[in-house]
Amino acid sequence: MNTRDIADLFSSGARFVCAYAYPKAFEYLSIEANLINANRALVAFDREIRQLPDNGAFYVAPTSLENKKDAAQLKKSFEEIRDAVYPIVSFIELTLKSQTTPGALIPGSPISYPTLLNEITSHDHLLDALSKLVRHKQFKNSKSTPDGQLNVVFERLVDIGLLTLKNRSQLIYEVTGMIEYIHTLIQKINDHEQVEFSQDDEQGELIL
Amino acid sequence: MNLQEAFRVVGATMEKSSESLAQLYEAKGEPLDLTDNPAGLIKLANYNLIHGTLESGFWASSMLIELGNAVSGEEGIRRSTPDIEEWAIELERTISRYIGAVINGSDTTERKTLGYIRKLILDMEDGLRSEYARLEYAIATRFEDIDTLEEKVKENKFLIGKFSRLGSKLTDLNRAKLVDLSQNNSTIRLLLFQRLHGVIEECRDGMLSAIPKLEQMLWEFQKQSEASINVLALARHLRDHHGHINYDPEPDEVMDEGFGQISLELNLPCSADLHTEANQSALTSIIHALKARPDHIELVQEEFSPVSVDSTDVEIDRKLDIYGPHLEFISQQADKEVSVREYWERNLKSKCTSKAFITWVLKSFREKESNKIAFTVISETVGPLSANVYVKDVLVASVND
Repeated sequence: MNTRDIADLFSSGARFVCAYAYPKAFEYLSIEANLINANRALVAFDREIRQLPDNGAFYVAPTSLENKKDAAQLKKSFEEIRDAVYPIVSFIELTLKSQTTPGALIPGSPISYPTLLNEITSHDHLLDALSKLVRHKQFKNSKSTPDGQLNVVFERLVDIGLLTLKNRSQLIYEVTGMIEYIHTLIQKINDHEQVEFSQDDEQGELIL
Repeated sequence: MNLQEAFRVVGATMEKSSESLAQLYEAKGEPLDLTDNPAGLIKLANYNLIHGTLESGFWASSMLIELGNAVSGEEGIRRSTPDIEEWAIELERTISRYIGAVINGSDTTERKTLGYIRKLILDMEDGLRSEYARLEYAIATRFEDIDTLEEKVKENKFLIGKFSRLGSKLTDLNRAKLVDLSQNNSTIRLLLFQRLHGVIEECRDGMLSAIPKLEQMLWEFQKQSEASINVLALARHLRDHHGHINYDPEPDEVMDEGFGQISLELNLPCSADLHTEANQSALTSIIHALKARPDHIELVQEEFSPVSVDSTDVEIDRKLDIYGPHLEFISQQADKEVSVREYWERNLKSKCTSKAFITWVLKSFREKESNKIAFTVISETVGPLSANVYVKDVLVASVND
């Protein structure tokens, strides 16, 4: 692993480099001297690598917004993620309702595709939640079976960078460090939209 | 008073102080200032159900914690470590009785008290091993045996409190304390050291180092719990508002809020605008400061050999001889914009490298400082990851008065 590998990784579409999706790159960037070297190489592009709080995932950010192209690109990039928040929130809600995870997804949370599918097909309210989930444009597909629909949802979440396939034979996925960014954004949106919390929300994990 | 009557009195006292007892149980050993029914509290302290006084405050004994655990159904069957203070007092008292029996030659008392001492030591050893195993299990499995996040948080908090206090108490139960407890009796000392010393050391160190891990886990659980609440609230809100999110910050705010993630496209040129005057000036000075690369030197040597280190002036003269007429020719053609690179491709490609010629032309124009000729430097980075730039071309044009 070297600076060039890191640059290649980010330029090939990796948005968040975390311990779960890119363990080697994460380990490399966690060494301060390596991070400094990588950032030195990015100076000419007005970019730098930053880290989400609490030793979270690394991501590329512009060093300034004087260049209008950068400002426009930043806004577009943010809007892409913001527009994916509703489908992602619906997916997390589905995992919570299925009781396959004890709380909201966090970096490293394992998700067993077969277990989740089994829960969904065993409960009507979860089947209903899945059919609503695939109405989001990010998850839209022509599949008619729960398996087919859920499979597309997982594929898209891997594409977005939220999930990574950890065990191919058992279909165990892991949540990536991107989820921290999403949770922070959810909190910001809640504050901005002045979302009201009901008792059901506050006892979320109890009623599940 | 017979035993039945005594239990009735204890029960009645506990009933009168039930609120205080619940508070003391919840405080898990932390002292509380309680003033309700002081006589009852003092009576309960005499029964070792609680400890303390009105002045110092009262705190729960291990007996109350065990009882509380059992009646609340929280951890009725779990084996816990005895309260260190109570245990030490009881052990000391029994050892004194044992030593007295040895001195008095009372075999029965000696046998009975020694058996009880063994039991007390076993209680502590068992309790410590059991609790330490529970701590390790909780950390290794992240409370996987508990279903809800709220219960995980509760259990985690309980363990942190319990092991912080236990770890501190065990710190006091060191080698000197064990020697002190044995009251110079070799049988007891051997027993204490064989059965307890190693376990206490091991568990104490393990517990103290595990507490930060438990604290980290608690923080994660609480964060996860808050995230769950946020997710459920937003999901409901968006369903009620047709999925529309109004939050639309400007780029500056996006950065300030820590959402400034952007893609990295290395096939783009340097994002700084290279054609601004400020950048051109900076780049030109960089170029002038750059040393020729080894491959460049070889080419130049081929063209102008032999070149020695001390023949700089000769080299300049030779370049002037070769390039000079071309420089004049470019100047003459400059009524329309001339690309020096294109000129080189047409006329000099077989004679020298493009870099050597373009750099020399640029240098010559700068030295001439002619106000009749304007030139534009076209630069590019050496590679996608490099901050180094080279002059790709120079566009020359004459300036109209």
